[in-house]
Amino acid sequence: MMGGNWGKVLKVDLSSGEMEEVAIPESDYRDFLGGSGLAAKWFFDHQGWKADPLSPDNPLMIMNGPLSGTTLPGVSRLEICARSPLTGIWGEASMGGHFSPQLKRTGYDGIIVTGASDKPVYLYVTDEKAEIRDASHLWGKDNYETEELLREEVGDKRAQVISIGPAGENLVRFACVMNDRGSTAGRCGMGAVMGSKKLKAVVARGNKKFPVADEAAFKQAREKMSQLLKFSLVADGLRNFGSNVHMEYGMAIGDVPTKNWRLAYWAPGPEKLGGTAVAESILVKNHSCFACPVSCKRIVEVKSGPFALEEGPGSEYEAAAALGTLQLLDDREANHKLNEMCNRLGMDVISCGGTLAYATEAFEAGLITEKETDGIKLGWNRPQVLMELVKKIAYREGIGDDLAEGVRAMSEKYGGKEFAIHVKGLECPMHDPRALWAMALTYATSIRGACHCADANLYIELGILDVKELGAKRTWPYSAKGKAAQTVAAQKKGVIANSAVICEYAWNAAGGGISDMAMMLNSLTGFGYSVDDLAKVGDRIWYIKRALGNLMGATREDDRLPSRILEPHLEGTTSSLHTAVYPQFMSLVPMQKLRVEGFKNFTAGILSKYLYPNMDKMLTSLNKLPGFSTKRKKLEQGDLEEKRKKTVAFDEMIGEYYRLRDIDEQGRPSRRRLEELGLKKVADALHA
Amino acid sequence: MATVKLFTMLRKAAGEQGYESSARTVAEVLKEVEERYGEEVRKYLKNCIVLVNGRNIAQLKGKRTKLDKGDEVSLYPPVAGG
Ligand code: SF4
Repeated sequence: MMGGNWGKVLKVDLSSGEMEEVAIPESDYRDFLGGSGLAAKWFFDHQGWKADPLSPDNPLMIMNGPLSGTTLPGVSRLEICARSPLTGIWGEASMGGHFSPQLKRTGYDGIIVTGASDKPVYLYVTDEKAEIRDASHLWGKDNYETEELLREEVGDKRAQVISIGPAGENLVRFACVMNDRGSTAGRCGMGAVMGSKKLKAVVARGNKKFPVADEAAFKQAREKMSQLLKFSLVADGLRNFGSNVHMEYGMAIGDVPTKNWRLAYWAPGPEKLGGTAVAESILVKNHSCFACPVSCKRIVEVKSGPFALEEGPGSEYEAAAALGTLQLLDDREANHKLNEMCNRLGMDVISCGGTLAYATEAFEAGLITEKETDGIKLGWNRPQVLMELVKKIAYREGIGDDLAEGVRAMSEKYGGKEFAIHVKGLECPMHDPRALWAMALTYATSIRGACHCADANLYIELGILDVKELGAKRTWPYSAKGKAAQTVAAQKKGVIANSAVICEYAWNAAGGGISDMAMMLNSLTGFGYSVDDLAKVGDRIWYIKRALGNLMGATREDDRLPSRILEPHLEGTTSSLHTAVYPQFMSLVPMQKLRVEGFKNFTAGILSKYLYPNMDKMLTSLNKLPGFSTKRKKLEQGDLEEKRKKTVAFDEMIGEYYRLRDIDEQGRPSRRRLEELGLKKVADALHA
Repeated sequence: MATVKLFTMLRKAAGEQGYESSARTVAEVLKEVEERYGEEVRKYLKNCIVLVNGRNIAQLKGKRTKLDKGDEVSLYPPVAGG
């Protein structure tokens, strides 16, 4: 018997109110695992790609995987998938917290919601019944209130709730789905899909014991993973400082996007917003997803002041950066307040932060004016303005109505595409490809748009993991060589994580072994996967998702990155043109010998602020001076050469990547590759 | 006197945010940190990123980078992945 899964999902049609149990063939579990892999298979089989994202026909798939909700460490996760209203293509978002184990114990591997209700409803699913219930009294409530009210209403403290806030109700295109107050299925606007169906929440409570193929092997696997986590430095960092431990080291290596990706290094990031500073100030305690020994979540409290917030979830790294450094915001309390507002209102912090940072730059550039903002003066490091805008977005008021469409739509309306930082319409997360080159391929070729969790490249580039088991070599962060092969392997790992389903922090902190994954999966399912089998499963899932993207209109043209995040920073001194131009420029003036560090930093600051943005003008004037022409040429050559060296060699990497992935000129996987993986029907649909 | 600033696990292992140092080079600071806090910090010092006034020492003179009065030496242990 297959274990780990129940072999069925609950299908709910909110238009008709009908519900049915649908059996899933065992071969689908074997080939696509579960989670977002199985969701992609369902989506293909049911031609989900033909539906408009906010129409009743778009299926919302809330999917556990075989590992989900078991007592292995770090498997408290599920995936929420649908066609994305933000990007228009395949959308998926992963969520931790405590919902997944309750769903597992209801006896379903997932809930698939189609249709749309004409009044607000919530779903109540237990191991005995499933009901569609009225949610009119909850409409308009924020996520924290909704969770509490629903738990009271069903009269069961252990019931778990996923819900949307006002942003989802108002169809903000980057609205998220929340559980446990601080656990988010953040990306791709899954909250808006729920909102379009008038589905306020899903409540799950179950007691059924899930089937396990080999109990003894399962216990062994649990023991091994727990031991690995016990001695992991990464887990230690996450436990002590949360995912925001990355702020410190990340800033030191130039990986933390700052001031809408303009600025290279900014000390207030690590010193004021980082995990260390949080631990020493507003941290109350750690919090954990179900059965996870890592316990990376932060509970914070700000007792008074303009950013007072009651004890509750604090910013994780992505929020600390997207609603902090990206806005050049140096107020820790304000950052956590903004994060709390996004949680309550139900918005993805990454997309929200990316859109706000774009808006600030567009305001500075005069593309958006006070006329559009109803008199609000946008600017860097203005927490009150950000708070006002966050509210306006959630309720689609004034400029908020435009911002709620995301950064791509904003830049199409107002201009400034060069600083609208997204891929395929999904705002880029908080890792900088200029620091870790593989992230360029990660963002460009991730199925759902710019995403750092779709593969393991982040951890590989940081030197935490390797991909030897998958036959690829780890590569040097600032080099194109081998990046494509590394990325293909990293993607196999990523899709396995999102289909199995496991928390990438926890798995990677435990070494991220594919053989360990096989051990866990085999103990539960009894499928007897080898490492090679899993690599093939990883490929199969990746290719079906890529094909879905193509069926929804994605081509090679969409695998592009904004040049701003590939070229040297416009400001700052860590990895900008500074080291290139500065000494050469200085050689033109008699200050060459001055090597006092303080002076250099001061000069570098001045140069970054005034000179580099006006370099062209400066060079033109210099050229007019007698004797400077040759100097100018040399300087320009040196500058270009240095810029070339410091610019991510994206074209080289992606060319090689397409070759390895067998992607044709239109961006589609070849028929041959699809058929090798048993995806003949997909090939027929794609190459019809 | 340079200011040495410790972050994340180094700060936790050291039990303090940092200290004022009279070391003249980065190499001396690293040695001093190990002596000052003992065995506990060694694993975090390995592959640690060192910034002097916000600039990676790799772009300066590495561990031989000289320190002046008022300089800030920030030590970021390789604990990351958020
Ligand atoms: S590592 Fe953190 S996010 Fe992942 S399961 Fe554990 S507590 Fe949740």
